[in-house]
Amino acid sequence: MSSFLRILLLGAAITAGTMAVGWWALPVTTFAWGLVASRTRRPVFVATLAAILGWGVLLAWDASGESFRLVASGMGNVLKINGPAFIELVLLYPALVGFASSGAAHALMRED
Amino acid sequence: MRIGPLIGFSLVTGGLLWIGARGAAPLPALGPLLDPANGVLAMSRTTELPRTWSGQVPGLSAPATVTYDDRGVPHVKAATIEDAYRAVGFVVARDRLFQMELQFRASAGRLAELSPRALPLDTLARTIGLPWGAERRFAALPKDSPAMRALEAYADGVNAYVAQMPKAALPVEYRLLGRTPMRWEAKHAFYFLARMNQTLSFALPELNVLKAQLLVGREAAEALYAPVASIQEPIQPNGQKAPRFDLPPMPDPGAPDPGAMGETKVVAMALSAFGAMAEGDETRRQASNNWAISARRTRDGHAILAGDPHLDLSLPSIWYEVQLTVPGRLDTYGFTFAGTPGVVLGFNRDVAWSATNTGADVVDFYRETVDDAKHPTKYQVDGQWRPIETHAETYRGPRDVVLLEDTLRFTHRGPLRKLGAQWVSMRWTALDTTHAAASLSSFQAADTAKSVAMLMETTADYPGPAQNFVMADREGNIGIRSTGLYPIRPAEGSGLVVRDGSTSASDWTGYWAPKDYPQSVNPPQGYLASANQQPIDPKGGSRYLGADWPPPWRAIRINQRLRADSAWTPAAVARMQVDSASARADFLVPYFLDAAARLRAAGRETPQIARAAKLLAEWRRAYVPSDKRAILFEFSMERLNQLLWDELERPDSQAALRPRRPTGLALARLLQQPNSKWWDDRHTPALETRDDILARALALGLEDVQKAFGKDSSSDDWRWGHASPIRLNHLLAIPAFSVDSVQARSGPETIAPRSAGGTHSASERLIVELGPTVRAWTTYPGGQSGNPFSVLYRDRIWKWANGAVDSVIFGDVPAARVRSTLTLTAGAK
Repeated sequence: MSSFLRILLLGAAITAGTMAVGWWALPVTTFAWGLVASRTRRPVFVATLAAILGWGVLLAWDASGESFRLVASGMGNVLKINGPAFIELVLLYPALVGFASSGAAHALMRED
Repeated sequence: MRIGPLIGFSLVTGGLLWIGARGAAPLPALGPLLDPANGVLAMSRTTELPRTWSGQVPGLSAPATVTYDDRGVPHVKAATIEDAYRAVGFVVARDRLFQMELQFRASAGRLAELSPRALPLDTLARTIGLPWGAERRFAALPKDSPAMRALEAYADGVNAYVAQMPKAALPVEYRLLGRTPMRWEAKHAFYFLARMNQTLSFALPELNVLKAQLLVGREAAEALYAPVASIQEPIQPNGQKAPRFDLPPMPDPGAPDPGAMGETKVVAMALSAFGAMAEGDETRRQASNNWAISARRTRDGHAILAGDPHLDLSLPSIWYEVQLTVPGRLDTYGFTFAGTPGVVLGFNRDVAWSATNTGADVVDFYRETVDDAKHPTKYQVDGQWRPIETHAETYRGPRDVVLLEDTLRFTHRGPLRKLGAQWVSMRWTALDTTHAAASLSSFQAADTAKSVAMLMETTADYPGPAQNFVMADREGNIGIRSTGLYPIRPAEGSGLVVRDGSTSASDWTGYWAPKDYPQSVNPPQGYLASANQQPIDPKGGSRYLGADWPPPWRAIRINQRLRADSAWTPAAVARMQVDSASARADFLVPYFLDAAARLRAAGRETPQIARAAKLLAEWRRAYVPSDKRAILFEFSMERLNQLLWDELERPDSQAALRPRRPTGLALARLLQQPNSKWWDDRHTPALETRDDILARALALGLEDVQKAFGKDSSSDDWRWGHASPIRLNHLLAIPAFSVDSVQARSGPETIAPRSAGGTHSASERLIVELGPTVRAWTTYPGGQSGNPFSVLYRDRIWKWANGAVDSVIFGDVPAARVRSTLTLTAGAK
């Protein structure tokens, strides 16, 4: 299976998991990915991009809402950053979690 | 296994998960916040009302429809009155859920569960008995009463909304605090009412009298916070065609009686423990206007009613606008509180009503004799020991952490506190169970009243906080009554003394009968008005109702304008609601200018005084945003108060014993006494007179303005709107959700009002014309939605600031103005 396809599938799983059980689905899914895919090519890279994709899809759904700009800029102001930076944070956080949790699992499974 | 990378990745993962789950101050938990499926950005999909939607509410006897108009006002149509309240609970919860919970917590003393910084507010709320009183009042409500049915129906609606609320619609405040909504209970409305009582009726004139007594003696202290207002423009018409200025000489500041010093000090400090919140004199700041014009004084021959309650402004507003229709039984429109069912201020097809705060003295204190100075279990009355009711109180913080444990004690009078060696109990009408149901049912009955006479009858038992209810009906009648429980004290005494609690002879003997309340119906003058002034002219021999009345500057201006016109229209009334001309300035400015002129004649005028007087003389005495002289007057008044009341200063270490500055009524009296000892500035060796102090205040005021806004008096920085904007703070004071630079036509003690900090002004405006077809206009600063991301969160602010009001839809909403339609059907509990 190509990395691209793996990213798509894992991203879909993250999207579905987040919708079903909330944000904890992200670390759980990417950690699980790190365990089961430790022998595949670049599992941490795949998990990182899949995490961005998985939440990015949901973000695009949010962006279809009529208040998206107001919410993003409002929350940016609350956190003393701007609206675009808040959106970037929504993508940066899953990237970091996906990277770190899959990396931990991968390191656990790796045999040297 | 690769140990090094495993440890590194695990640490990073752990850190990220910690921040995701618990947050890192000041950041909230980032996981649920950033989650795009159900987190804060998901609110984008739920913030605005859908075109059509549906919900289920247990107990509905038939489907109810809610049509939101383009201003976001829900028009509820239901089969029964209880169904209407279920629907209101549902829609108010959608728009104001967090506000409802916060208001409950403020009264219950449970704010610290959200933030430990709120602990002092919690201890005060519980100390003055807010939750104790709310529980007692709720328990006194008959289970099958209309008020109880209304509360339960409303709670059903609120909880039904919360149960069906999409995760994405959770209000942002809960997300930032990491909380979920609490279950709403019927009794929570009584907590809200207790909090309103604290805001509106927790006035402690005796506290200021005692504190001043420590500094200037009893006689001077009583004169500073007198039970008689020296300028009279009463609510109950006195037949005069102009305000009356009775300005008797003020006694000079005296020396405190050393013998009384000890006891007075102890009691004053004990009262301070009860009245910490009253230090800023919150109750005295709560001002409002209302008036009614009879049919014969209006252009079109229909009575007109106007009201604008002045409260601390917040986002969202304390008010929520709604129409309730139950065919054949109820058709009412107006303002409701988020958390209580029914329209509180508004109108129906026949009558309209509004209210201002009466400010009566309904709190008294008693020195108690207890069996044990440290841990009393009994207190003595008429030689008999009575048990003290004790409550173990636990104050919790976030995550259930125990912040404080305390024991609260209560006598039959109310909360009991100790400071120093003295135990003092407090009695307050807000904690009594008398007419408890009427605090809600009065408004329910008003919603269906048919005439002024019926309104008078249905609100007669209303217990408080005492309000000056003004009313008008379609027959052209008008009426006003200052309604609420007013204590009858022993020997018709005043509330300015602390009584001996060891005898039942000190207790209240009852409450005034409603026939004795200040009131008037269809007076010959053809109009009625109130603006928190002393309700009855004391020349008529009125009983003690309160003390430390605010000066009636707004009342003077309102009456002046109402007298001057006999062809009123709703548009003219709307303009009058934002009148910023100042009767206060009309009275005070000449004293400043005359003082400067006399110093000039005596050759003692400095260039700074001359400059300040010239600038002040240019002022047109109105607080419009573009005016560049009002700020000089206000800064000079602040300096005047500092210089004049130096006798009431205390060292910072005794700040709790510093009395509040007397109102303008005491100042008005002193202005008639140019050589009173009050004018002398104790910080200087010279003996100052009135003119010296006025001129000095003017010069210092100019200096202050120049320091703050530059020396160029033609600069835009001197504009009133720039120098003194209105501020609307979010409930959690989050700057991003607050609006802090609203330029509005409004000034201190003008009809269009504002406080010094700009956080207090007209919380809503209502105008009703009671013709064959009732027409009404409303606005308030804020918007219907409590969601800071909604277009309905702050959409009304700018129109409100400009003095504009919206014509309301009273009846079916035209298709072109329908924003959303909600259908509610019966659901399971």
